[in-house]
Amino acid sequence: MILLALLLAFTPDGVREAPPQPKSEVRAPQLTKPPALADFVPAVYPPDKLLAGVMADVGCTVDIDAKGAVAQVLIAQSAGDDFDRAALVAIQKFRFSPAEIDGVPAAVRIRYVYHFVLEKKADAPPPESDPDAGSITGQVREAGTRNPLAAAEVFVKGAAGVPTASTGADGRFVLPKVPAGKVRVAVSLAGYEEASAKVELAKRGSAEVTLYLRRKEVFELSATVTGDRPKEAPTRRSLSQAELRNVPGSLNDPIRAVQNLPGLARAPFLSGALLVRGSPPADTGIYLDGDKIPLLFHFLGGPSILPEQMLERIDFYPGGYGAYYGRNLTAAIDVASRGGEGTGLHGQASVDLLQAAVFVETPLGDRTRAAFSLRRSYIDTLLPLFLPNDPKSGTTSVVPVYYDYQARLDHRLETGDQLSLLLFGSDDNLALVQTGPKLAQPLSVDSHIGFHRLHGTWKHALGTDLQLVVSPALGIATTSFSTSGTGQGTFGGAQSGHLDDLAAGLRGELRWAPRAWLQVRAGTDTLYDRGKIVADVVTTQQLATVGLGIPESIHVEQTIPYQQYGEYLEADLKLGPVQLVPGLRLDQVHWTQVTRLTVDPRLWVRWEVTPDDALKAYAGTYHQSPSATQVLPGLGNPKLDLQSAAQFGIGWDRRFSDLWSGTLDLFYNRKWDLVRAVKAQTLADGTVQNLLFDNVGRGRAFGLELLVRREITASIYGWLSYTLSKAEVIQPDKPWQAFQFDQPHIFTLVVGWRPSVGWELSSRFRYTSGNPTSAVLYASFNTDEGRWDPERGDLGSARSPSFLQLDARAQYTWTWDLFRLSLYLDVQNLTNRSNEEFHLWDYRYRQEGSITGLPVLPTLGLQGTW
Amino acid sequence: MRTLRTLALGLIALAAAATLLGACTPSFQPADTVVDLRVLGIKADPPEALVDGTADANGTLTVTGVEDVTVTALLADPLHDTGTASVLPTVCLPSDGARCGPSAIDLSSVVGPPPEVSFSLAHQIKGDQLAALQSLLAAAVKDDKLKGLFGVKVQLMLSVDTQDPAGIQTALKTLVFSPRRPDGNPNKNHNPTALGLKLIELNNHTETGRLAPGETLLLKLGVQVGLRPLLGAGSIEEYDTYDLQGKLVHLREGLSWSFYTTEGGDLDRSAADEPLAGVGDPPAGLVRFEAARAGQGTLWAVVRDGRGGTSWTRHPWKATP
Repeated sequence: MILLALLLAFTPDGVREAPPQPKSEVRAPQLTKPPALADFVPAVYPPDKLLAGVMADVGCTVDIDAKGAVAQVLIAQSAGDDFDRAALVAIQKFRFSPAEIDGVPAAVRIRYVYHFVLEKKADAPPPESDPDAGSITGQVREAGTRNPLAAAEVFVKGAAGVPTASTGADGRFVLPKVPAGKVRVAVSLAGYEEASAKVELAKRGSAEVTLYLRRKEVFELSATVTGDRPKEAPTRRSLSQAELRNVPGSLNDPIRAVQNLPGLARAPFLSGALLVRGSPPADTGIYLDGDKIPLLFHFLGGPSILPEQMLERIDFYPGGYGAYYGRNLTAAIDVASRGGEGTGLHGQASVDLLQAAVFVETPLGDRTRAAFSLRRSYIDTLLPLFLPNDPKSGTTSVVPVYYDYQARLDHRLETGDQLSLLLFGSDDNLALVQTGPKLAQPLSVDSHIGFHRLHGTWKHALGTDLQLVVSPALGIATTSFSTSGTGQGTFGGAQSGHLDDLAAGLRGELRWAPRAWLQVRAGTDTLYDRGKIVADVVTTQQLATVGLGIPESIHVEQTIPYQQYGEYLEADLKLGPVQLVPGLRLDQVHWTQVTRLTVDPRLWVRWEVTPDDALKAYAGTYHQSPSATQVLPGLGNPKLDLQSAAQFGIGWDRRFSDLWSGTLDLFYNRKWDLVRAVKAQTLADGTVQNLLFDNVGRGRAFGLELLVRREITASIYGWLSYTLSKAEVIQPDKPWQAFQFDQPHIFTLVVGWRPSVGWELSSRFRYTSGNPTSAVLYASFNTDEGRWDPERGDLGSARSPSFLQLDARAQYTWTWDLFRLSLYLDVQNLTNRSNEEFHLWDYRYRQEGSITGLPVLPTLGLQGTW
Repeated sequence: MRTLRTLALGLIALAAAATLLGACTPSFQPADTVVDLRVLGIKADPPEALVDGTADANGTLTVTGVEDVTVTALLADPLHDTGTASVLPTVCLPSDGARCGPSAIDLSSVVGPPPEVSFSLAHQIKGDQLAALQSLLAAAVKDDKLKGLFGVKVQLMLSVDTQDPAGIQTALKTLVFSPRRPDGNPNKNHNPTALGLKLIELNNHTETGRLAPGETLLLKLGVQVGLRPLLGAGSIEEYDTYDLQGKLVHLREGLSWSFYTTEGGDLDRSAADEPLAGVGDPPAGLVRFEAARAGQGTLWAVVRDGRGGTSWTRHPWKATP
């Protein structure tokens, strides 16, 4: 119906409202079922405004509880006291069908715009009943997504007296008493452009029509999770898919965008390495749905192994996490996969300069949903164009190829149990070949890493206050390499290695909530690895030499069982404004006839001082195994101990408004028994001890992390993060010195803006301190080894120049009835600044130079969604 | 499980680094091109000197006599080929630093003409420095994590000055001293002997000629020639020792070569190893050399045996169109 602002007598029919949008372009990732308006209560039109013919829109933020009742309404966009009050009173009486998060009813927050609109009253009385009239049925869907739209008004244009109809939750409608012949059926819904279709109706006949509505406003719908969060921690930083997917500079890879959070140092180039709070990447556990995975990013700074479409949420714990996670010294990142939609067959296909991907999701019956995605790179066809290829320098050929796949099946049993099965895998091949007339020994490196995992989850309610979650996992990972020409002369002989790692894991957790203020979680975390290594490598003999070592070819063939058993118990007590979570984790680790036991107590507390302010603190110990290489008999030290850490932190959470919030954290991490390579020594009894590796390293990091965030809404979102920190390590026979990637200042600003339905613009600005370097004090020619030896200051005695980069991204989306097409341009390093990544010296440390990061790098991509 | 994954990832990093370095490395002067004063090698003869002395129950060594060592430095200075070089020898405890610290012992300076300057260590000792040197050996044992089990190691630093604008150049060498044993130290190290170079045809890897030390290498402009070092008999020694796991091992020395040229020469690589036992000659360890322009220059090849032994060969080269 065309909205005409005519001043006519007030009738209840003259007021229409905009229903909550069941689907939104900006989709909150945890939402598996949006709330639908079940009971609408009309607002009372302010009389004076009615007489004056004034219309208005009142923007509200509506909190809906897990049962669908309105818990709170806040005015976000005022239209004046009288309109605001009328809308507030009406919305408070609304009733919704409960929203679901991860398939479970949960509280959500929606943005609701109440439109006060005056409509033209019918000029003529309805005609007498038409004996030839028929009916029109149909469905109203959103153009592009094909999602059904509820509460849309359907009517016949130009047919006075024909009843109108509203669509239900499934978008369907029935228009009765429609005159036979050619009619035009139209549909209108606030926020959408009106749509219509011609229908030819036989006498007393019926017709079916599907109408698609295009958006004309930027909608929003955000979810606030208040339900059970078993992996809660005071430092947890969650980012939703909507926030992550369009961060510029992340090459359309949402997981890479997590590197913009506080606590993470900038990794060189695009490597994606997770350098958390002064720790190497090995100290951070990477999980997919709670299952520890071996790899997060593809080779050469490629994208993450989980594409955007399969991503639900990222939980990042820079430290202080609870007993659920273990075996990591510093941090954990848990990526939640996304189940398929239950609203029909949907999909997405995308191509850009690096890769192509396809994604499909569909319901399979009432209680089953499926999703599948596949991606493959074709960078191997493009990269050689940029590599050196001339007769003098030789030819370099790099052939990186990767693919990954994911398939997820979700099923709800009649008993209410939930089952999910996730099959995923990744495969990376990288071959580098250098040949040419100048090269006496051609170089060839061929590497491969691939893994395939099957991960299941079964959620079963044992009672009203007791839930069981069981998650088995099975996987195989293959790592192999073969090289020739690496090294010089005889070192250029062929080397190869192959590792097959069979892993089986089982997690089980009982969640018991006997009281409103008490929840107890107890679980087991078992992981069994069986790695078989076959390798032919050239190594240096363990000898006391003067100058270069003596190479030897060795053949390694070993099977290493690595068993890790973990148990944990955690209580969650809500004592008034204080939340107290004590936890205890036990781990038993077994390798080659060695058993190590650890006990890790952990505690965090959060005190809501006011509704908008909370103070928090945590303390805990953490352990991590040495790598399998470090305990390998012959090549390592099987008697190594576990590496240890203690973490402490305090913080302040502040909510400035509905949209703005901030978090300030202070942390101190101490690590000891870190595994380091050690030199051989003669003991007092005259025997020689050559451990190769020992638990002699230490580390410490402390700092401040600030995150100011604007919640994602219809048109704007973003965050500002700042880290001030210092990270140091101590090596055998050395004093404390800076961690390799210690960056005292890390500042990131991310802003996203949607000025219209089609456009989405975003930008990221980053500034970090330069990485620590060692000043070269002096250099002499070492004649025993034929190279110049520098005398360096401590690492940190000098620094690389600061890093500064501005990235930008623009995306435009065209919408048709059945699909949408998005074109995006992602430009990294918009200002083409030369940022030093590595500092180099000439062979005798007289001249200095840099390898700089990426120049301005535009990436163009196309994405189709249906 | 992170077993070989670490190694494979390392190789990936190597490949990535090779790619990046190949594309973006700043243009530095290559290490194998000598443009100003360089110390290319230091030879100690014998490379493993014998020490007479006793050790007490705590392992403290009392030195009563030390075999003399003749030190020869190979100097290359294209700008001052006919001048003299002043060489200051300094000895000190081995360290991670690139020079001797303040407690080092400065011996008497030596002046001689390049390309080789030789001196006897004993002759350069001044006054009461003998006692200081013996104390240094004892301290070296104490400071050594291996307590001198595989030889007492002392660092020798030469500071060389030819009035070159590049300034004084310093070079380091580890001097190895072993306690004299009643069996005559059968595993004592000796310097290898460099007898010149073999010329290799690059298409079929056949030897086309040999150059004795000092002989001129004739080159055709733009034509590569393959080079292989020519070693004297017994240069690659076999010996018995203990590895760092305490196991008695019989070893064959692993010799490595460094090649240097003056400007105008172009080496495809500056280092190569002698092939392992059982591995044939070329292409293993082959170095390719060509002249980038007509003219003449000098080519050096320095061999090291991994136990402190060294030797070298020096050849003028002449390139014609």
